[in-house]
Amino acid sequence: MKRPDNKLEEHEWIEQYVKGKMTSEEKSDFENEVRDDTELALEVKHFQRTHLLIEEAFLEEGALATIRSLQASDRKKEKTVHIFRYFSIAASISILFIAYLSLSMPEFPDSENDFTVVRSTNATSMSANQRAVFDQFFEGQAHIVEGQYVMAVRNFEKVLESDDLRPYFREAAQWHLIVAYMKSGDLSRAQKLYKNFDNCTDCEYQVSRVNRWKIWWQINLQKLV
Amino acid sequence: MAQFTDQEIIDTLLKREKRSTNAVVEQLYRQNKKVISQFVYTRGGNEMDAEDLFQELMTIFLNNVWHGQFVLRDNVKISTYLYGTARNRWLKKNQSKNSGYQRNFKFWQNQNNEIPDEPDPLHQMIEEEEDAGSLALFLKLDEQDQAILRAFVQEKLTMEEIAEKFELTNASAAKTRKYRAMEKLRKLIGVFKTIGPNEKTR
Repeated sequence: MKRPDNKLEEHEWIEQYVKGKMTSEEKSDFENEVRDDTELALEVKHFQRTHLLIEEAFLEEGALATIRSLQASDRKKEKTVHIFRYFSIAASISILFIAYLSLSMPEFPDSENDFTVVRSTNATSMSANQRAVFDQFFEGQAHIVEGQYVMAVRNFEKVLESDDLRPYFREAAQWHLIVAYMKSGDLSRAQKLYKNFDNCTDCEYQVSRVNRWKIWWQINLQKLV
Repeated sequence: MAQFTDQEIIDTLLKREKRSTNAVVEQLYRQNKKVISQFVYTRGGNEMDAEDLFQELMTIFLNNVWHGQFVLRDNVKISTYLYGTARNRWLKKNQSKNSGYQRNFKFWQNQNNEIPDEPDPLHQMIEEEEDAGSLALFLKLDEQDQAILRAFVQEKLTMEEIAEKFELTNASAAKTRKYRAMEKLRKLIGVFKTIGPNEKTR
């Protein structure tokens, strides 16, 4: 094949040489032309360079795609690790909170040595009946602390038999009785009494929300177990 | 997965084969991602910044290897070069944003004696990273030209198939389009590039 006389054909001619598509005779003719013509030699070099750049561009594109895919995969992994970490923390907190609700004793507002718990009581002149109710209440509290819940039930039931109780003191005795019932295993009575305070809007003996949760949870947990 | 040594990395990249290039890139990513990300995070960047920087680093590294601007030397690891280039790149990026940061950076460099008064070959290579990448040049062509060259080189379609794919009248028209696209790219190379020592001749 002779050297073409237009640029497009010359381009194809160079391409055939560069891609090794020439016969040995054509190749030899081509190389002779290159040797004699520095311009053609430069054209060949430029063709090779341009072709190489295209290949490099595709390689670079592939390399970037590989990196992006690795980065996406890492992002996904990190996201999973984060979610797992948050979930673990949330689960630990939940377990601790449930353990706290399950195992800790409900705490009630302090009513120790409050002589006014009994209606019409004068601290200096307390009647025998009033004194008995007062003693039963604090004895019941002591039994709860000692873990003698059946005795505590008896104490608080006796307290509640009195019809001369201040509302504050009656509610205090009822709350203590709920705990005593619950701890002694009388869950249905504990639950029934607890329900009295469910929608209580004018209660005087204020039991905190957390302590209400503790009681509710411990009753239901025991029922479940 | 087998690990490439630094020398094998360079040799593999110079072969310009798709699969082995990707394997090298994957290894470089896994080996350097943590250090580069850590560098970006400690300088106020985020995960996206680290990802972008790593992609730029790979583009620079590949092109510098292909075009002979990165030469493996004794006592200079590729990871050291990548870290240095990342730092250089990050500094340049943030130069306009924060000139105070640049002063601090130079002070920090001096404190750590990381760039001596007389630049060593590694730092020279890092400073010379500004080279238009092959892909960046290719993407300067219009979409039609890119598509024709992609069909010809990557998909290895014949001129008849290219004519059919791009709804050209015949193979001759496809040849003309391909020739014009190659010429445009050649002019772009002339504007942006010089031929380096690692250029492959066939």
